[in-house]
Amino acid sequence: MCFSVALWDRIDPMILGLPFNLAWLLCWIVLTTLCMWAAYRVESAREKKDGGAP
Amino acid sequence: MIVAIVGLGTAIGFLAGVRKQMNLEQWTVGGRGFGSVLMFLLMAGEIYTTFSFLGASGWAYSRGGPTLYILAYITLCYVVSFFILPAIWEVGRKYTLQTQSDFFNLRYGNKYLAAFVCVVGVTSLIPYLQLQITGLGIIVNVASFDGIGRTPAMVISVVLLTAFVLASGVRAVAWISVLKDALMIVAAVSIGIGIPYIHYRGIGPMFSALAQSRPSHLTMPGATPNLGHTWYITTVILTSLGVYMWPQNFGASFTAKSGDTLRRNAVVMPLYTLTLAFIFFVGFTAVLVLPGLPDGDLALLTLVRQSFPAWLLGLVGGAGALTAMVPASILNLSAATLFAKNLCRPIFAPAMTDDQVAKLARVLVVVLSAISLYLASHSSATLVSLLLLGYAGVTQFFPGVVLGLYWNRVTMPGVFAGMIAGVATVACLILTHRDPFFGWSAGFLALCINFLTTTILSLITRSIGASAASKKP
Repeated sequence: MCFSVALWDRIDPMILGLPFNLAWLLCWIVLTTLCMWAAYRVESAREKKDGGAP
Repeated sequence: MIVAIVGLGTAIGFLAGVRKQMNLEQWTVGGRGFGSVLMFLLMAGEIYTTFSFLGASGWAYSRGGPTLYILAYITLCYVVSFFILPAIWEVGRKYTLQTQSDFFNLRYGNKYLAAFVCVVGVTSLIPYLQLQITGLGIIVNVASFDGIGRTPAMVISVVLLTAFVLASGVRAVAWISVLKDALMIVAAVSIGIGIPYIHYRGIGPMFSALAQSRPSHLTMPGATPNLGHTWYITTVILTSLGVYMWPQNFGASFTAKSGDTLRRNAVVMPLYTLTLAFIFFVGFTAVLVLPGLPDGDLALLTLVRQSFPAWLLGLVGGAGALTAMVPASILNLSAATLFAKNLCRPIFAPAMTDDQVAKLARVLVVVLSAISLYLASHSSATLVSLLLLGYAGVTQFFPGVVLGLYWNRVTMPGVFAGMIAGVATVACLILTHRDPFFGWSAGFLALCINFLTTTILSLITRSIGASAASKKP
């Protein structure tokens, strides 16, 4: 994600009054949580199958 | 108001340890029973320091766009932690590890490597600790309308935090974090929304005004000559890997009840980063409202003092004070324990019992408090470069930890050499003012060199490392 910096490091278009780069990052903070939650579900399911080996 | 908050915090700190017998295990890792909520608060307590509070707004004010790296690296460090912390915890529980050096000692079977890790760790921790105290002095001074001078404020807070660390160890830190995090969220949101509203009738209008009068401030490199995109990318990678390599964060993972607790924690913690956005809003507002401040770190407090009634300033000040005291205590605790357990005992006094180590660590807590207080009172500009050195330094542990967890063939000479190479590179570049180096973060370059050295040397020396590798769980 961070390699795309040049693409999103700008002010316009403003999202909810925030400069685009800030909005982009804030968006991704929330998305990261969602992705990790999904990963957590996957790992838990896998652990139940293996009987506890991570 | 501030006094009340700090007093409450200290009381909590003492109570935290009241019914537990404080042996080394309890003092350093709280008996390994911290569940999700307490874990969340402890980590949040450590990771969000005065840097997040004053420094983030200060950077938004003075540097603009590059400050966004903070949002990125903190979020990403949780992704890193999701994968590596449960494994670290598992090893910690199995072999009753308490400190970061313990891990290195176990995995690589060499006490000199562990001692080296300890030295780099403690050296990096001291400027970090000193910075919390300096920040604290500023916060209390400004928030009390110069009623309490910087030095008395620092002395009092240091005495208080030393007291509750001595009494309850890491439990004190975790419980006070509860208060600290709650206050921080309340304070951040209120000033983050309130200040732009007061001066511009809203956050959107504030940014529009800023975009119109100083468009380059909001993107990279913002107000700086050299913090551009390459710097951003390399620094984000460096610091997201580095967060959990700090001895106190590494050690805090040992307090968890289970690896699962740590994973759940990692999932939720990015959301706490959102509070930083509110801190940014204040910093950005200050650019147009209070131009020309000599010290960017004062931007947030000065603006709050100007815009809000005294009690709110006191609330913010209290949150800020705790934001300094909590990390300061854990930094102190970690450094003292590291020093006592992994440097003094193995190298100088191998016959020390755990209880004696605990006692020595307590003495060291006081010593470290005194040293950092002294440094904070006589600080100089080079402390910032020392902190950067510290960050770049601890990240050099990363290859040793990660390769140690997941790769059978990594060997002790490999890791040791890699670490020395990394630390030396970092020291060279930063002390000769070459950070960033052609736009690349110095620590990042050092990390690459470190990884390469470790890998290559490990492949070469793997037969020597066979006996150490057989200890891998």
